Amino acid sequence: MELNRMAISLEDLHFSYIADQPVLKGINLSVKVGEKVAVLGRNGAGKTTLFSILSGINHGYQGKVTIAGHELRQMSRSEIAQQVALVPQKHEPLFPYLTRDFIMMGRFCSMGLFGSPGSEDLKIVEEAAIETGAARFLDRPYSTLSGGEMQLVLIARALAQQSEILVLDEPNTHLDYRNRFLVLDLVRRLAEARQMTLIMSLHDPNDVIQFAERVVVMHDGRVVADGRPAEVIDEALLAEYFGIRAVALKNAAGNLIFKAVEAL
Amino acid sequence: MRRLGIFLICCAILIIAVVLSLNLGNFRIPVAQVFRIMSAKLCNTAMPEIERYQDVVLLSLRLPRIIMVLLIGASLGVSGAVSQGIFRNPLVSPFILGISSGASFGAGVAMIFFSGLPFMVDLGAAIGGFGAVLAAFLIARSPGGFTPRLSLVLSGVIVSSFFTSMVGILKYLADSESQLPALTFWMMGSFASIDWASLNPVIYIIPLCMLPMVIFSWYLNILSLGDREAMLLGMNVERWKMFFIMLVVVAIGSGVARCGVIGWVGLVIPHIARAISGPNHRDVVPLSAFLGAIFLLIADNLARSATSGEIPVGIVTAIIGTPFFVYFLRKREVALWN
Repeated sequence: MELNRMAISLEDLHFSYIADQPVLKGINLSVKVGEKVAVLGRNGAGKTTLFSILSGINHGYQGKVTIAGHELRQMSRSEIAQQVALVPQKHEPLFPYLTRDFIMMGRFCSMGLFGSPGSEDLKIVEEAAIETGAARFLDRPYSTLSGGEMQLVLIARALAQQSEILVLDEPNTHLDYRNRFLVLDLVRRLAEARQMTLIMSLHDPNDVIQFAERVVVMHDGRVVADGRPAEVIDEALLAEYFGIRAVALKNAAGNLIFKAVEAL
Repeated sequence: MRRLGIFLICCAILIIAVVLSLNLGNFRIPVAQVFRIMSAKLCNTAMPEIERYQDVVLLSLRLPRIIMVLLIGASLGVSGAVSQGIFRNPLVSPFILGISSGASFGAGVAMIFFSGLPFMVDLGAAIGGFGAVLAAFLIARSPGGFTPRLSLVLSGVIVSSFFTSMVGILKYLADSESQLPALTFWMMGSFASIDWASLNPVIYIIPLCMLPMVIFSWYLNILSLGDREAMLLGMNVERWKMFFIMLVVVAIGSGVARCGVIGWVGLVIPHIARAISGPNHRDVVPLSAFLGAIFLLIADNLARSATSGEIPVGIVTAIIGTPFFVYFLRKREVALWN
């Protein structure tokens, strides 16, 4: 495997929804193939906007975005979806599709104009369901699933896209304590098994330390820190960019844990 | 297997319904006689012994009428399923979105001002229908690009009543000797005056619009997830939405241009289809074509046989359709209201 091949490279990326109110103010970032990156930042720091640009939804950006060596502007929607699979924060079901049919929709980007799902696609869907643990409810309407199960199905749909880059927008925000761990642990294992590049936005610094090998801290549309989580995240950073006074503790295994004690 | 079973059952019901429709009417023709006349015509052999004008009634009046009913019923069912998919809204149909009344206004304008030119009525109907759906969508759309489900229904009602009143103005403008009777008769939404000649060009346009909607029906699953997710999955959302809307508008427009506005079929049929086959649009769209055709055929038989005169079929579909819809609305625990 080419260790230094870039999965994503952003050069001087600017973006604003409304003129004169920039959301991203010059982001420079390179992510190597196979890296597991967490993006940490307060609400409104620009994480979701950044992910929307990476997945080809927001167009009107300035700067250069390169994905797997291709300039993003020159890629079609289906080409982008073949490279980048984004797991949305939340999905609101309307029609109660079977979980199987729902995961199958991830195959759309790989089909030709007159394409419809075939037996090969079905195999890919079933594999994705087995890997995520969604296989046991493949024949149930996905609208009847619990929040944690739904998240597994959304991840399975992203796997069915067979992309090299997996982007997760706050994958565990709406989940309970157990599922928060389960989903992040699953995502980390999947990324390793499939050698995917992983980019996920997280809110909890402890999750970042536990599940990511690199953290990018965003604040007010800029990258303010970037590096190994245990080295980058400290009390000063949490105070300055998150407005929280936290104390660093070490558990029995010698891993760093932060405990918030006061909002500044 | 299940898919094949449903298909065969639909075909059987459709054939039985057609035969019964040929038999029914103020002038009843026994089923055996229907078969004899049809086979004689198809095999080009000598006509059997027939009573007064049985063959004329069957071949020149009932058959073209039934074909028209089937075409329009199928197009209404398919268009309803497609509209509900692309607008991500089980409460809409071409009728609710104002497409039908927009089309009737466009057709009316063409009838009055461009009556000499061929196919102008169909073109006018398509343009009117497109204008109506565009207006309904733009009115309902909030600044963030999000379209609340009930707003779309409401704006459709607004657009629809606007075009209905515009049709009223057209009636006022129409020449009371030469144009008004034709306009009024057509607007009642009826199949009473259908003959072989009036099947042209509907008999080409509707199948040509329905075929791509069925072929690409799987795409509606993706579109029904909402714009943002459809984009994430790699779909060119604007292009495919426009593709489906144009097909719906042309299919509905050409039906309206011939037979006036027939409501409720497009709203109710997809719900029945989903109850039978599940929500996958690959099944719902073709099934809606069958069910729409069968439903409208039954409604039209009631319209022409229930009384000694003829009730406009649009009234019959509303009487059958509204309770059905209320039932589905109450039964389904879908978040319809946000």
